[in-house]
Amino acid sequence: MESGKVIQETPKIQINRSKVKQKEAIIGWLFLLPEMIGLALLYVFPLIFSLILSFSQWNLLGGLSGIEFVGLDNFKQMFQDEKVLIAIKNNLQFTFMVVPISMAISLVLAVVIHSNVYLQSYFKVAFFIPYISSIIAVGAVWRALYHPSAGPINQFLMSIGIADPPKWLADTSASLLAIIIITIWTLIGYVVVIYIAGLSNIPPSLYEAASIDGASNFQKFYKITLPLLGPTHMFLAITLLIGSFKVFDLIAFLTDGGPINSSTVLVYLIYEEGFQKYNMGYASALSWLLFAIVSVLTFLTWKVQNNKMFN
Amino acid sequence: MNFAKLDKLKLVNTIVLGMISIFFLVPLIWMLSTSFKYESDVLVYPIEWIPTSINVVNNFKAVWMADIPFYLFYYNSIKLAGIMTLFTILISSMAAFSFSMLHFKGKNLVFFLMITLMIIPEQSTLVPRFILIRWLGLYNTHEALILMGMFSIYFTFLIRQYMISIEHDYMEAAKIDGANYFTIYWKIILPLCKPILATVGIIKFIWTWNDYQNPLIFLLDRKLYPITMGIQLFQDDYADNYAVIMMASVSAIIPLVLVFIILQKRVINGISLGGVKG
Amino acid sequence: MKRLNSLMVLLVAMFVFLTIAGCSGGDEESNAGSGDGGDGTNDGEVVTIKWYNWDNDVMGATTQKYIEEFEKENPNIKVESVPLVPGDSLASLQNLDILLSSGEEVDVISFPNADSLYQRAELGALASLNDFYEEEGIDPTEVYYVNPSVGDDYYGIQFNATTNFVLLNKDALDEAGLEVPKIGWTWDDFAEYAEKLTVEKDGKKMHGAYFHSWSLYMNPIAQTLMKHPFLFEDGTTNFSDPSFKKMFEMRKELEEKGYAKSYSDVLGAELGYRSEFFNESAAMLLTGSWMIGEAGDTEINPHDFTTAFAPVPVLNEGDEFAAFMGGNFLAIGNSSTKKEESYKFARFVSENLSEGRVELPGLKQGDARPVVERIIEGNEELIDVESLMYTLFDEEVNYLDASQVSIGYGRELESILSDGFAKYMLNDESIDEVIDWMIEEATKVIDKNS
Repeated sequence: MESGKVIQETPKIQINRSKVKQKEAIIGWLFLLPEMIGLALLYVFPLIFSLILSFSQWNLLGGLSGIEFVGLDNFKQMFQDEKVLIAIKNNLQFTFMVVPISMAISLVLAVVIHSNVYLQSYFKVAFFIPYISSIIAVGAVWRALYHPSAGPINQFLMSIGIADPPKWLADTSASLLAIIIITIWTLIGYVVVIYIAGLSNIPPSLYEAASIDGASNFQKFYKITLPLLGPTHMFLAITLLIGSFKVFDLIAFLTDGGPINSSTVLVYLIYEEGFQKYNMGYASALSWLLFAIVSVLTFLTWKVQNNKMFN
Repeated sequence: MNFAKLDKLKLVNTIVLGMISIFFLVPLIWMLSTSFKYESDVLVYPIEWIPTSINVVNNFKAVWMADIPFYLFYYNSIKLAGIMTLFTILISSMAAFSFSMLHFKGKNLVFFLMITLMIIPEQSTLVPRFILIRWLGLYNTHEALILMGMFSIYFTFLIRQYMISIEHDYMEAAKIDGANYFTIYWKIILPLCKPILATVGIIKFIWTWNDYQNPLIFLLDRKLYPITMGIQLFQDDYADNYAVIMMASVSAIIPLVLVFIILQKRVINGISLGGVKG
Repeated sequence: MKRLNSLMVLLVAMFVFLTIAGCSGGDEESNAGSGDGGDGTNDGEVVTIKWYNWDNDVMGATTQKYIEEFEKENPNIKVESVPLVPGDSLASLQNLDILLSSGEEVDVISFPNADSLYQRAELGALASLNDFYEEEGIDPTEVYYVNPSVGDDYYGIQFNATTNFVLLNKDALDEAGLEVPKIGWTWDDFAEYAEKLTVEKDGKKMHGAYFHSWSLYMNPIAQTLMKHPFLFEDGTTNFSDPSFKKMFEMRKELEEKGYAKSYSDVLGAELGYRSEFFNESAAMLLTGSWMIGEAGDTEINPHDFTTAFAPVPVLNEGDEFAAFMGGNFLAIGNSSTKKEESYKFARFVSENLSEGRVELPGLKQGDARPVVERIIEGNEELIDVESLMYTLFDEEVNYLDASQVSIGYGRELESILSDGFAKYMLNDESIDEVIDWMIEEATKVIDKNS
C-alpha cells in the first residue's frame, strides 16, 4: 500500500468513524432487540411479578382483584411448613447423591473409554442413549422394573436371597432413592461425554513425560488427569448442581412426591401449591426460596472450586 | 512384547466395559423385549429376554391406532422442537453477534445483566409466566410453549463465546466499506459458526423433545400433546398393561435413538463443545 | 442478497408471530367481554350456551342426545358441549379453574361431586340457584336427593346419582359355594368371603378382593355409610370414628394373608381397578354405580364371567343400612350472561330419563328401573340382574340425607387420610399413633379454615 494514499484518506475515515459508530449502535440494539423483548417478557416481568406475589395471598380463581397483601406471612408460613423442610432435605439428599456419584462413575468410564479400549464409539453411544431418551418413556420403563412384588428388580433381589427388598416407588424410605437411581442412569452418558472432551484437551506429552519418570497409572491419574480436568469438574459440578435442584419430571410422573411426601422436592411443592391448589402467593414465595438456595449453592461451588485450583 | 501386553489390557478393558454397558442398557433391552410380549408373560421370572409367544402386532395397534394415534404426538413433538430450535438459533445468534462483533455503549451492562438472569431457575418464574400466558390468551396452545422456548440466555452465551474467537478482520473491513451488517451476519459469521449452531440446535432439540413440565402445565387439549404427555396418557389408560406401555415407550425412544446413532459424531461433539465452552 | 432476504423474511415472520400472539389474547378477551348480547331474555335471537364437562366418547353420546332433545324443545337456545379433559374429571376441573380465573364466560359446568363444587362456590365462581328455584316454584329438596348448598344458597343441580356397591365375580362365588350377599352383611363377612374366594386358577392367583388407591377404599365405612366422608355433622373430624381403626386393620390383615393385593403394589405399579376385577385378579371390588354400564360390556372390559352385585357391608351385625348418595352436579358460572337459559338446560338434563341416560338420575320421584334396564340392555348375559336390582332398589335400601356441612378443603383432609393410611400400611407405624396423628392434623386444618 502506498503511503500517500493512506494520508489522503485519513480525514475521510475519521468522519466515517463517528457515523459508523452511530450506525453500529443502532444496528447493535436492533440485533439485540428480539432477545431483549423475550427476556423482558419471560424473565424480568415474571421475576418482579413473582416478588410482588410472594408478599400476597392470591387464589388464582379470585381474579386479579383478589390479590391481598399479607407482608411476610408467606415466608413465615414457609419456615413452619413441615413439607418445605422435607422438600429441602430431599432436594439436598438428591443433589448430594446424584452429583458426586454420577461424576465419579462417569469419570472412571470416561478415562477407560478415552485411553484404552476398542469400540470406542460404541461405548460413547451406548452410555449416551438413556440421556437422549425421553425421560417420561424411561420413567414408564422403570416403574415396571420397580414393581414392588413382581417386578424384575425385586424378583432378582429375592432370588439372590434378599427376602424383603424395598418397595421402591411405594416405599417411604426408598422412593427418593428410586428417583435418584433413574436420574444417575440418565445422566451418566452426558457426563462421560463432557469428561472425554476434557480428557482430550490434556496433552499426551504430559503422560509420556510421567511414564519416563516411572509414574504408575494411578499416579498419572491422580497427579495429571484429575487436576487438569479442573475446569471440567467445575463446569459439571455447577451444571449438575443447578440441574439437580430443578428435578421435577420424574417425580411428577412417578410418585407425585409421595408416598407421604417422601419424594417431594421444592419444584414439586411449587407445582402443587401453585397449579393444584392455586395458592399463587405461597407458590411464589417458595419460588424465591428455590432461587435463593440455587444462588447460594452455585456461589459456594464456584468458591470451593476456585480455592482448589489456586492451591 | 510390550505391544502384545498392551493389547491384552485393552482387550480386557473392552470386555469388562462391554459387560458394564450391557448391564447399563438392561432397562431398555427389557423394554424392547416386553413390547413384543403378551401381558401375561411380562412379569414372569426368570425374565424371558426373547419372548416365546409374540404379540407385537396387537401391542403396536394399541399404541399407534388408539383414539388419539401416536403419530399425532410425534407430529406435535417434532413441530414444537423444530420451531423452537430454529427460533432459538436465530434469536440467540443475533444477540450473540451484537455482543461479540459490534461495539456500542451499554452493551456490556446489558450482557452483565443477562448473565445475572441466567442463575434464575426456570421454575421460579413458573407462576407469573403461567399468568402471563393466560393474559396473552395463549393457554393451551403450541404458541405458548414456543414463545417460552425460543429465548435462551445460555445459548446466547455459548454462541457469543464462540464468536469472540472468530477473527474480527471481517468486521473491520466491512465497516470501512460501509457494508451491510445483516449481510455480514448472515453470509459470513453464521457460516463460520456452524459447529456451535449445530451444538445449540442439537441440545435444544433434545431438551424440548423431552420436556414434560411445560406441556403438563400449559397444555390441556390431548390433540396438542407432545410425546412425553402421550406416554402419560397411555400410562393412565393402560395402568398395568406393561406390554402396551412398553410399546409406547419403544415408539417414543427408538426413532430418536436411531437418528442419534446416525448423527452420533455431530451430537457427541456438539454436547462436548457445549461443556467445554460453557 | 437472496440469503439476506430470507433472513428478513424470518425476522418479519417472527415479529408477526409475536404480534399475533399478543393480539389473539386481546381478541379473546374482547369476545368474552362483549358476550353474545343475550342478557337472559331472548327475542327470537338464538343464544348459545356452553356446557363444560369431562365427556369421553361414551358419555359424549349421552350428552349429544340430551342436547338434541333440549334444542328441539327450545329452538332459541343452542348448547355446545365442551369436554375439557375427556374421561378425567379432576384434570377437567383444573382446566375449568383456569377458564374461570381468566374471566372466560362459563355457562354450565359439570361437577363430579359436591366437594369440588363447594370449593368453587366458596370462591364466588358459581351463581346461586335460589332465585331460579323460586321463580319456577319448586323446592329442590323435594326434587333431588342431594342439594349442595353453601349457607342458604343452593349451587348444584344433581343430574346423576351415584351410590356404592360391591361387584362380585359370580362364577367364583358359585365355585366357592357362596351366596350373593344381602343387605346387612358385615365387613367381617366380607373378609371371610375374601378368604374363601382366594384361589389359584390355571397357575394364576385370584385374590379375594381388590382395594384401589382411592380414599374410598381406605375406610369404606366413612365413604359409604356416613353423611360426610371426612366430618361429623358437628364439623369435627370423623377420623376418631372406630371404623377407621377397624378398616385399616382389616385391610392389613387381608393383605398379609394374601387375600388382597398389597397396597404397595397398588401404589407402586399404579394398578387399575377395572383390569384387576375383569381380568380375574380379584373376585370382589368395592365400587359404584358408574360401573353398571361397564359390568357386562365385553368390548370395554373383555371377560367371560357373570358379575353379581351386593350392597356395601355394614360395620356390626344388626347395624341399620343407609347408604351415602353422591352424584354429579350441574352448576352455573357466575360469569355467565345467560344464566336463565343455563338453568333451563340444567333442569332439563336432570329430569331427562330418555334413551340417552346411562347413569341413575338424582330424582326422588319417578322410577329409575327402566333407566337401569336400558343401561344394561344387551349385556344382561354377563350380569346377575336380580342382585343388581336388589342392590339398587330393594325396599330396605335407604339413602342418607345430605350432609349439613360443606367444606372447600376436603382435599386437604383426604391427603391426611391417605398419608395416615400409608403410614400404617407401608411403614408399619402403630395404629393408635397413626389415628391420633390423623385426628391432630385434621383438627389443625379444620381450625385453620373455620
